[in-house]
Amino acid sequence: MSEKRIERIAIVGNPNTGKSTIFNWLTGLNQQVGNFPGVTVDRKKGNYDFNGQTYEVIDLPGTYSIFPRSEEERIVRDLLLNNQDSDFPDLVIYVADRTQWERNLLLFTQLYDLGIPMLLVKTMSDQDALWSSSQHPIWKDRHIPVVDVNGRSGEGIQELKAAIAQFHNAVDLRKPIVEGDLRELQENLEGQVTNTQRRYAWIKENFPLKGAQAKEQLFHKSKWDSLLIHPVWGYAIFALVLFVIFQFIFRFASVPMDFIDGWFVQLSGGVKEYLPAGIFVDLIAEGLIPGIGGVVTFVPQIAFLFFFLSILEETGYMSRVVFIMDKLVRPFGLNGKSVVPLMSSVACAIPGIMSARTISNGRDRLITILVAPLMSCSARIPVYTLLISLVIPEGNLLGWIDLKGLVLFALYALGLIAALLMSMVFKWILKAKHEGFMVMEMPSLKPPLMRQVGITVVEKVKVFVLDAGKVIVALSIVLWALASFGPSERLQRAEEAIMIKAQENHLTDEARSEMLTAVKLENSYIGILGHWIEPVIKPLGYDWKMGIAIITSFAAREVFVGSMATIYSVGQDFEDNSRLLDRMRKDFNEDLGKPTYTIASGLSLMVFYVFAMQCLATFAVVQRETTSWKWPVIQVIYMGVLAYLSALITYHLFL
Amino acid sequence: MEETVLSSVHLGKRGVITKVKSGFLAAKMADLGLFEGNEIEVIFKAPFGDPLAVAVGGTVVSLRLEEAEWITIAS
Repeated sequence: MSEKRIERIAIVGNPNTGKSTIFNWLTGLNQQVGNFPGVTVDRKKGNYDFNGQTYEVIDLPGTYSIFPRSEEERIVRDLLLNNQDSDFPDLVIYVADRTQWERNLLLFTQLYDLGIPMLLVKTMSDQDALWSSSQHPIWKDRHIPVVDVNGRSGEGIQELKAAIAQFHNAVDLRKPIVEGDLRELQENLEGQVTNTQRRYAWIKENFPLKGAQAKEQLFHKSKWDSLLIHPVWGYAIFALVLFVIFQFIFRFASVPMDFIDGWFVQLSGGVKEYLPAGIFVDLIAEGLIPGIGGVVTFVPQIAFLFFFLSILEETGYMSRVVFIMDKLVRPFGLNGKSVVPLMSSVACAIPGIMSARTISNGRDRLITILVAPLMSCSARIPVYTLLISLVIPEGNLLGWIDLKGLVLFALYALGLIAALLMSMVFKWILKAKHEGFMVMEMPSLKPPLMRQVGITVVEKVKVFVLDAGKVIVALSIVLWALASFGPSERLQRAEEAIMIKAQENHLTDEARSEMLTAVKLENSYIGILGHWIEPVIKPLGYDWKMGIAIITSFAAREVFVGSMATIYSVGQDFEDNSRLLDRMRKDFNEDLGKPTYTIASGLSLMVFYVFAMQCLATFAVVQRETTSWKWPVIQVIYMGVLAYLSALITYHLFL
Repeated sequence: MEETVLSSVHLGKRGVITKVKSGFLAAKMADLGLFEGNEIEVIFKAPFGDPLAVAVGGTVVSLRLEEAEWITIAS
């Protein structure tokens, strides 16, 4: 057999073996993340140079066996059994954890018998292993080079690179570990079990336990685990973890977010000031820049959340949360793995939906994605606070419950209840091909590798900005165009009327220009649309102004406040909205013969914002994560209908 | 020797697997070391008794009660 130069390497191994750590040590930040074709499983590729040669590395999803039990495992099987695949590796780096030696070697023996060129990397060799020495002559007999790598320090990576460069393919010399063709067993479940048992027998024979004490260690029960899954302490600790995460996000993410907001406002102002006026400059200053700004503002929240989520994942704590929550959420059509994505959505649905990837059951994952935006996210807070201070009177209930606080709490509770109820509805609608299973490994607890956490954060932010960003920017330009253009005759007439009014009333320039902006919006296509839908939203207690604000805030919920400021001709001040509140309070609905904003119409509007899917970024992320346009569209519609009906009921309850 | 279905085994009990009902789950369980002849111990139960976690071959595997019904152990 002629010696083929090694160019393409695949990293393979069980989940939680430090596979990705080795990938990251080899490639650094030199990596791209995409999806495997047709499925939402991360496909990480990277490369590195060694002795003047470039090596391409692909990090395959964690796999227990060559007989696939999940989408991830199917991808690995399909690739490794098809040497015509363009990703088919010249060499597999098989990563096995010394502390999980027996189970980790199963897949190794399968790949060995399939004749795949392989190099063995042992991780956690510094830990006391329960199985006899791994410096076993067996590797030499079987022509498998072995390298020790320390995932924490990166020790051994240079040796690994050297071993890859010197690799000699000796596949021809292999004698099978277990006789029989694994390819023929792909459809034969019982044959698979027998084959697997024989492989375990081989592993046990060649790597026996180090004695009675080691055997006792197999059943070791960690003290930490007893605490983390304790009926009382377990939930208390989980609540505390969430509390800390939210404290951090709400305290620290707002600083860079405000900074980014301010910077984009300045940038767009600067562009308008220094470039000649015209439609092209408007497109850049009012469409493109705010659109990109709308993508970038999410970055701090996404980065913060993924920082914490990957720590939970890295330490192994996540699987403890799944363990204690599974039973509680199952009646709702969710599983334990849905809990953290849903809780994350209280800060922002985007990282919540992105992190739903860990839910291996397809239907449960889809349900989680569909209901996640019902959890009240931080973008709803400006809308809630504006409306609460507008219509909810000061006062106490039972002498000690603050009325405004109670309403805010009720809005959050409403979102949570709706998310759970809608999961039940979707569970009933979406029939599963086969019921999901939760037979899963609980990896041992370990301190997080911060390098690994950092790389995950960068990767997730990149995916959001580059993939979802495109859709967000495109759609925000469409929204901008609808808000800036209108039938020219109608616009001209309205503007002239303002000019005359301004002259008659001796208005200041500022007041005049604020009125002009308002009149432009009112007569733009969105404004016309707002007027046009008035009959539809009238039963909810709304007028055309709220119609406009609802349509414009499809971009993002907090846009509601800015749109209201434009419509009521007050410049938006970010500190407090006292001028806006004043104008809104004085607004009188002639048709109804009462103020526009009453408790009924205000609460109805709040409830509308609890349910309606007013977020382009979520739409774009759902599109990416479900690889379809069908699901985000269904989501917008069902949430819209839910919002409409609930607002209708609320309005009539409080009328 | 007393044979019990894993779903009704008490916490802390150790035993040897005598039977796993065949099917997709059996194959998945075998990958993780849950097959006839292997020794396991129920080491944790979630607060409402479901799921439970067993130690096998140095690995902790969690399974729902309905999944544990597939396994019989002798202690």
